Amino acid sequence: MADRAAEFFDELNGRGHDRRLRKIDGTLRFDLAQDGRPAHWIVEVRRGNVKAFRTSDPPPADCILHTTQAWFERFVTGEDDILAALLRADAVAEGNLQLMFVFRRLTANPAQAHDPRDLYQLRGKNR
Amino acid sequence: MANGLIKILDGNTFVVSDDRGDIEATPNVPTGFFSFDTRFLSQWVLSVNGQRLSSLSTDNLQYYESRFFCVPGPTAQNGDIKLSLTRHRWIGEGFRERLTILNHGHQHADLTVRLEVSSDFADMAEITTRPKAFGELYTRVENGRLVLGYQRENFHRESVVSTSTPAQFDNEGLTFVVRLDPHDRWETSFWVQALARAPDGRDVRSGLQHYPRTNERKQQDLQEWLAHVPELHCDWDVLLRTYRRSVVDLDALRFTPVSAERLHLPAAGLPWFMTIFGRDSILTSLQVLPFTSTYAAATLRLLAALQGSRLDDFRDEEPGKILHQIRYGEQAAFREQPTSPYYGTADATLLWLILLDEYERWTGDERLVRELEDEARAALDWIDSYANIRGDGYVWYLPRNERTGLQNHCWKDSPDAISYHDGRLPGFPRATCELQGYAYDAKMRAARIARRMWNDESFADRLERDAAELKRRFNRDFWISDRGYYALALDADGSQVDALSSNIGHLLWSGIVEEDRARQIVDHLLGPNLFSGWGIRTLATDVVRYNPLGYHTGTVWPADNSFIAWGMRRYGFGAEAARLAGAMTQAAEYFDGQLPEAFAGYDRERTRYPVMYPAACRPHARSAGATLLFIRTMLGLDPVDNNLSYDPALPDRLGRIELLNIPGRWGRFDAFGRGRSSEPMEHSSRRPR
Repeated sequence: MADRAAEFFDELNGRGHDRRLRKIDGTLRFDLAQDGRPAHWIVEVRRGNVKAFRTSDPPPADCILHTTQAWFERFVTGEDDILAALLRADAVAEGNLQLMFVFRRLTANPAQAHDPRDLYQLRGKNR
Repeated sequence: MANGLIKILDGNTFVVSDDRGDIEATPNVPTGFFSFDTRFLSQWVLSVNGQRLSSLSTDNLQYYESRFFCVPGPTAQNGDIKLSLTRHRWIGEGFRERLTILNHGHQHADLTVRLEVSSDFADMAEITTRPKAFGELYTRVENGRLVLGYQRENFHRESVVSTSTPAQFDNEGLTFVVRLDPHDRWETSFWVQALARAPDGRDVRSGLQHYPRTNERKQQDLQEWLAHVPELHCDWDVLLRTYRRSVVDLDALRFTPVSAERLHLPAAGLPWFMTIFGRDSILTSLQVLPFTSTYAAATLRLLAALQGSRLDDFRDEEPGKILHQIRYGEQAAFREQPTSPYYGTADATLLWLILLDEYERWTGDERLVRELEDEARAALDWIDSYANIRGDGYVWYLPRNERTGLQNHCWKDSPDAISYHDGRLPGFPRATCELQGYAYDAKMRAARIARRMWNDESFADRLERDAAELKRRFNRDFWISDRGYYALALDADGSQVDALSSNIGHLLWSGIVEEDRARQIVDHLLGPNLFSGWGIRTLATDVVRYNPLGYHTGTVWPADNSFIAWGMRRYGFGAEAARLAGAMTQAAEYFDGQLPEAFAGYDRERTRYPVMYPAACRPHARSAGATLLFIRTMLGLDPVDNNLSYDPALPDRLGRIELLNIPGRWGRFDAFGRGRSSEPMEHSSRRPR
């Protein structure tokens, strides 16, 4: 099975810079549990320049998210959202949550999302 | 909400009880101890020797603190009172209460003091609809504490009740057996913690930056806030009291979202909307800008941080869109409601841009405007792309979450709010008129920002051209020439939705009305079908869906009226704006200076007093803000470069008004006004400090 979290972080690391992260200056850490063991992913952001990598020796970070690999994949593919997961305690955050809300901007549109203009065209024709 | 309920609050934590201090929740009366959109206590009932209490008086000490003076048993038969009780309660890391019982008799008293306690852990969103169905409620006594809980998967909320003196706990509450000597007193304290537990047992918020305030801190913050806002002097007591009350309520509603780095913004209104609403936060910040810019700065930043970035039908989210609301309850958590966060509003994005400009005009804080350039450009892009659904340059909305989202993405968001005169409801998409006004204003203001602060002359030119074109087409397509007003909306075919509504008043505020049409608009607004004598109704009385108790179809909203009055002044109708300000101030007298969210649209002549809308929020941030905006409007305050200009137009009742220490880019200024009955005064004098 493809590791979509690893794919996400690798792709982010390959980008090197992302304007959407321009205002973040800090380190995010994702502790993603799978089969009972956490994988630690680090995202370092300095004025939009971004490095993402996996580590076995988790450093302190400005914001840490403890969750499962499965939920994280739902998050980055737009199927679920950070605040809902925090309220359900399917994810638990430490530190400065603002960083996580900005990080959300990197997540994808959920499948079957519509641009309202396209929906108008679709529905309009059938009205 | 029924009258006679006693409320204390601190941000989004609050307690609503009866006048004895008891909580007995029913579907129609939302009493309880609430935090983060969840009810943590639905029953909190005190009795002494089996007798319920009767209230002697209630003392609302501070917004976060109250005291109840009671006696056991019915007061009518109490010729000879031997016992009295005080319940002193406040919000402080949960809910705290100190109970004192005094024995006034010559003999000792043997008392069984019983407190019945339970919780339904209802989500604020379901409180009037259905009982909880999905998770498990439990109660247990452990280590001298009563623990009430609710668990559904990892979603776990607990109320932990503890006492300062030992009590006998059981699953339904707790009991003290007390012997009081003659003229002696007995005291105990209760503490109810509202916890959101993570799987490891800790509170989910424990690892996040948050800043709980002690009572001393709250008192200090309130005093600083009262010292910070301008000082009002006038010869109309009601206005003074309403101003004071509004200012305190605006502090009471201050709410720091978890991990928001000490930024606070106003929660929208108690009890239903104790959370972030994009529109409400922005409009309140606009209303209060002449008094403080703190709310505006926080609102701009927080809403920018949560700006929409993806297409999501469930959330009605689009890139660049400013959110509608955030909820923290169970339904938001499990996606039974789309509110974590929900983006289903078409006006917040436009209003955010307007606030950004108005904020800079008052404060001169160019740094923030530059800091938010990306978000502002994304918001402007949204207007021309995702909002331009029919491709004709208007702002439209088309709900994509038809199951749990809102149908109307404008301030009148009830399902029946947007109708034709004959009562039919239009299809989607819809383009309400005030959205076009806001879009016009947003582009004009963004042009000023682009030119002055982003050094982008060509973008500024383009925005102004777009705005001028929008105004031209709007005045062609929305104007109903044989009735002399603007349509409430355009429907899916681009035809006019022809009901007469208060929305046309917002058009004056935006400046999209052609000068030679303004008089007709003002005449409609103050005509018998829209003006009740207390204020302008949301919908005119001759429209089929008009109902004096219809939330958006006939009630009078103080906030709505405050923006309309501001608009009237923009077009030179000072006397008319003053009339609105005067009527609303008179209405405030009947609400002890605390204007509710809305009140009934009955004719003033008929009822003689403003009738409360049954479920109105009170305090309500935009209604408290309305008072402040009315004062701005009466004084005609407006920043002109680095100066504050003013040009008073006062209601008849007001002979003299002074607003001292108005903060802004000029430092502090004082503004003075005299009514018609007084000597004319020099308005051009400005006193910098």
